[in-house]
Amino acid sequence: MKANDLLCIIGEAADEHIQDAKNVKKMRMPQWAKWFSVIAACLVLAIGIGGFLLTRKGGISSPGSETGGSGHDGGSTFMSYAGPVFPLTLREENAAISARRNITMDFAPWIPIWISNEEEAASRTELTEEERQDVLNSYNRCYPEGGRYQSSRNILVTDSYTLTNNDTQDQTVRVLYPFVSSLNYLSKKRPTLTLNGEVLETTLHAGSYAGGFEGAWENWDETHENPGSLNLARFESWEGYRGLLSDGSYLQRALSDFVDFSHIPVTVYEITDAWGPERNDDAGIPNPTIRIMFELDFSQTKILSYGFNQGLYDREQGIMGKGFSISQPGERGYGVPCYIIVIGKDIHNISYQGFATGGWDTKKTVETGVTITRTESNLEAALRLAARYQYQDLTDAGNYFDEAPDYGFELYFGLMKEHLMAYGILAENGAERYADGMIENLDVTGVDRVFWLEAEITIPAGKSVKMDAVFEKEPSFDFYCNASENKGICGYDLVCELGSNLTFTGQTAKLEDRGQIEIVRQNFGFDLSRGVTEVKLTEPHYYLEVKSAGKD
Amino acid sequence: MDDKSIVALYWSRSETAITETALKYGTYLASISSNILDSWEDAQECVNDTYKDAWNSMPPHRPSVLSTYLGKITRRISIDRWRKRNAEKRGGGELPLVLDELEDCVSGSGSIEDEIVRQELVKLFNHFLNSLPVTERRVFLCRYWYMDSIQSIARQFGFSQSKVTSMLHRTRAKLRVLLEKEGY
Repeated sequence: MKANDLLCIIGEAADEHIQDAKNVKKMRMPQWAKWFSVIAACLVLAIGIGGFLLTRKGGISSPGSETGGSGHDGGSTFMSYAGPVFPLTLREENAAISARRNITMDFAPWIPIWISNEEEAASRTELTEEERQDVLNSYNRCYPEGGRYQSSRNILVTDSYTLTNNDTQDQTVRVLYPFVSSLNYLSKKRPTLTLNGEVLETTLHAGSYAGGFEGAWENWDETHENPGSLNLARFESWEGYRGLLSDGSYLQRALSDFVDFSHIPVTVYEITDAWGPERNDDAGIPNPTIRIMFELDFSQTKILSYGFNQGLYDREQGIMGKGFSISQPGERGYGVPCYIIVIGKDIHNISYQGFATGGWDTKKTVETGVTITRTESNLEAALRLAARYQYQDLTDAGNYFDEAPDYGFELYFGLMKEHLMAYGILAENGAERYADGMIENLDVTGVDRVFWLEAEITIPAGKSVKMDAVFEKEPSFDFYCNASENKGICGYDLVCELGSNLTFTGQTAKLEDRGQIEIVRQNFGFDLSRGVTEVKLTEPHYYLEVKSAGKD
Repeated sequence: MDDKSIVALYWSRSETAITETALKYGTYLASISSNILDSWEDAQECVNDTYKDAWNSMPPHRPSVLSTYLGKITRRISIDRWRKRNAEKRGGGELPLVLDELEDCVSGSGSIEDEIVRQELVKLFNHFLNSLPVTERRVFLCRYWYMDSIQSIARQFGFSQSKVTSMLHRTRAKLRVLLEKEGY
């Protein structure tokens, strides 16, 4: 047998072992957790759920509504749409400032680059010299030519602005540069802003979820309608963003403070110290689980929960159940409490029971125990506590690229509250997707939104400054399963004035094709065969769809 | 969205299945692939191919554990791509190191081409995994299934790198003894 064979055999490891291997989490109890019960006990609770102001409610449409326009005027509709490149805007409109924009789309990242074994080994700074030599030897065996080639389908965008102050006084303005990303990919998609070549310090602002909801395609064949709000419906073209940004309200919300839930009283049930038998398939206990059952009046009580992975909702009987698998030492979730946050009338007749599996039809009970602590608090404090654990989880185990989230807890928490208010159980017409009240199911980090980088710049009287936004832009594309004409095609698009309050004196686009592409569809007017690689922009939206040169 | 609902979307041939899969497992799958390929872009393409395979295989399959079902597809596709790149002298990632380490466990003579022999080996290997202490099993799979770097495993488990290295060495030695005993 060869090592390659063994590699394939290892690939057939049992599902439970593969899952289990990633259930590891370093056990640590954050300092702030110790203080929660003290803080919670000190809070004075007075105001009912309807009595708070919505500083930043978020959301762009009612769950279930269509997103964006009905059609798409130009370019393909891609299954994975990356969003357009947007223009710069000012935080406060300023009639004295005019702008000239020159955008360069550079296909340099498409060029295969040579990575030498020496460079590769040298980059492993965490290794000792001896280990690094081992790595180098190993790479040299695999790549006897001394290295390998690597390339990307991103393009390098340089979005340049010449900002002119037409006034007789110096003007200090705050610029806002928008881009599409999710929290998960922020570090890869965040542009760098420079002023006359110097990197600008920026503040990040995040918009709410850029998309809507749709049903689960039940009865689609008969009705050709997809009502409901169980699935996310992302934007498929720039028109979705046009609907989002054209009236300025989305940006205004992104610049304002997040809602504060401090004046919503809640009752918190903290579930700790869970114990039970070890997993034992032979003994018929494959997944020892604890179920917490309680009674409530569904019309007067809303429940948020954290740490549970099973739920039972019986509105007729007025019974709800929440269950969780008992974590073993060293497993993800071990030592982390579960929370039931009660908004409105308190729950009663709380009980718990251990079961051999997580299924609600399981009858086999096992001996288990938990500590349930009831405290009165407010929604801000209670949600913050659960969000802390969730954020910690993202940092420890949820971020598979070993990079700590770079957006910070407060932004994450604010966006979570906003999503909860707009689409969760606190919304007037919440999405079915979040009806179970499970905090960890709120789509905070994975969904696309528009972000803005804010920076302050001064433009001397009668003078101009040059501001650049530089970033790699990923392509829009179709998933291969959709046997469409877009297989192998990458799409990039931009908008000229959408969401901007600047007065533009002209816009141009330049293509640096680097000999890497063949243009399939476009409305720019580039003509590579005739050397036309720079064009004036006069339309609201431009698209460029390309494939790799020399590929069918 | 829970896995059962996502699988149902595949069965109903709804393209939403892909976007829901991408939302829930995209990062996870990309991490598996990028460990193998050491290239974000190539990893994205392999994840893309995973969606294609998932689309083509559901139905008829109705996986009970969607994450590992998809993960296995990604791992297979990524290793295939690595082999192709390696043939073109453009490999990368942790795989060369992993293969080097796995050489410890095997005789190096002959390949496993008989499907029945392969199935027996899979069974034997899973027995072997069951026999390992929990932590040792997890570390082994993080290295040889997920192809995490030694440094990354050390960080995940809170161990020193040398402890991870020696634990893996011990486990490989056990596996070699077992394989030799069983005539592989």
